Amino acid sequence: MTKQNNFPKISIVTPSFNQAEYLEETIKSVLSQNYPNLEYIIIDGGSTDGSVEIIRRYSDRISYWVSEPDKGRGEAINKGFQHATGEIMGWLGCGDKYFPWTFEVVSQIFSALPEVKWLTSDIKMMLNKEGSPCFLDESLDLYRINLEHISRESTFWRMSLYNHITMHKNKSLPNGETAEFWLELLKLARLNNVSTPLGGSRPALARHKESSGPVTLQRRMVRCNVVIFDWWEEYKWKLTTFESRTLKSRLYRASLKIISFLLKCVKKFSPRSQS
Amino acid sequence: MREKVFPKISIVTPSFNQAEYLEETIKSVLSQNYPNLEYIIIDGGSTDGSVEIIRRYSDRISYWVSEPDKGRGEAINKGFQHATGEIMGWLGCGDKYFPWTFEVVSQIFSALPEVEWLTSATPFGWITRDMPLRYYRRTGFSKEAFFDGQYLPIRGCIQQESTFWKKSLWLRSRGHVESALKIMPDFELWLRFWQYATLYSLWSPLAGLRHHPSQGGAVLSHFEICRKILDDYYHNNIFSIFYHETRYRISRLPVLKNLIRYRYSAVKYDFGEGKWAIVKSLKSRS
Repeated sequence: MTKQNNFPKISIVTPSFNQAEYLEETIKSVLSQNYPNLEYIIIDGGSTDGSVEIIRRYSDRISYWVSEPDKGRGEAINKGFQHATGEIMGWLGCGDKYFPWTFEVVSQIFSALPEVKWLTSDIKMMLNKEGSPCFLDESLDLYRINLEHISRESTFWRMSLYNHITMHKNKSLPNGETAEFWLELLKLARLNNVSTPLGGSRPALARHKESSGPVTLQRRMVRCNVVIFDWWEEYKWKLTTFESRTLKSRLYRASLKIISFLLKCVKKFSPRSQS
Repeated sequence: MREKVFPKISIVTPSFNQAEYLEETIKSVLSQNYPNLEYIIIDGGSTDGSVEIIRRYSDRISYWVSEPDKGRGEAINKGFQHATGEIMGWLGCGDKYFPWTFEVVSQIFSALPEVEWLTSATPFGWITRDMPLRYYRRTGFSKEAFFDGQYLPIRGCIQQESTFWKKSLWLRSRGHVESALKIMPDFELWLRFWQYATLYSLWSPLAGLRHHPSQGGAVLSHFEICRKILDDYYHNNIFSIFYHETRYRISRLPVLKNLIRYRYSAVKYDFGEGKWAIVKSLKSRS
């Protein structure tokens, strides 16, 4: 229906190490979308549990893959991105999954809206043991996302933005520094947010081991633009920005907060609510 | 690892001259490969090739018929008369399930016996054949909010596609759909369901409406019809109607909305325990 898509090249990097159980599911979720202009890169850390056999089975559709010992996931990702040539980049952990519509949505938005430099979804899906998405963790405000809610499997960025970041080029990205990478991207461009689920992560694997940085970083709220779809009139993607920096709106919101706090107090001590 | 149980799921699709969208709907149901599925299609005597599409899939459809009927409501009733499953739901022509819907629904219904009907708090729409986008979101659904008219069509309704219920609840609440209602027959059904059981909401998306530009969406006529159903429930008593409408108005105001709090029940996956759990009595601001 929307004919604005010219299929920009998408590069996806998957680091893997001894997770053969989930690797095939991950590879399938990328390749089964049949996106015409895809570059898929797998960097294996010298697995010994049959991961290499699985990768070899799909090797005709993988642009680049290698299996050699490395210092960790951060190094594997950096190695993968050095081989990436796509216009849009993303990174999918082993065990995580994309949904059948992910590349279609991402490519449509990136080609329809040139001002979108990087994109995430406010719907964070988690996969349970069986691999079915069963939990949807979301920040309740569309325009403000908590830094820890930006999940790697549903975030995509432009190559031009990535090239600005020399951090990646020089030193490797250690495990668990996703938040710092997002902060680097935030310095360059504003975050954009769409309400389609783009990827699901499996929390039982690396999720709980890998914290996304110090606690102070996690609590940081990120202001973002929202990519909406005009359902009713033009039937195309649009960008809405939200400016709340004016003094008037700040005062208004502060007064609302004070009044609602007072009301809460009144309600708490009123005899009716005790029952 | 626990043994998997697959309760029987019955899905009914009423169709009438919508051959363009019918195949997507059938595929979204059958491609999930749920082992214990009963799929029923009731066609209202279509003449645009719908019957050929149904015939192509007829080996995997439990029951189908194509004969003239009086409308959607009658078709749904006819379909549910043939349904034998433990879990029921109906899917309009053109609407689609997500690839994981039956798996999630069966897991919840078999793990939590107290859940009698279930819906998703994030209603989705399909922009194209395979591109979903969320319309809006809710924190949950509560009985008080329903009877205050929070879930009337324009105000954001309980999405019918993503709602599933147990057969026991369907039978207890005089299992039928009001066939006189041409549009929104589901609202009247929810009104009866609410009187017997609590609705549990789920944050995972379960189904989406097929959206196309020619379609109008929820319009004033939908609202008026549902408003009338709710007023009839109050026996057109002007005082109770006024009371509930006032409560709704207050809950929309910027600050005073804190005075009205609705409690909802939700279903959530507990990743620590690795099983489904119920979250109850959460306070929500409408």
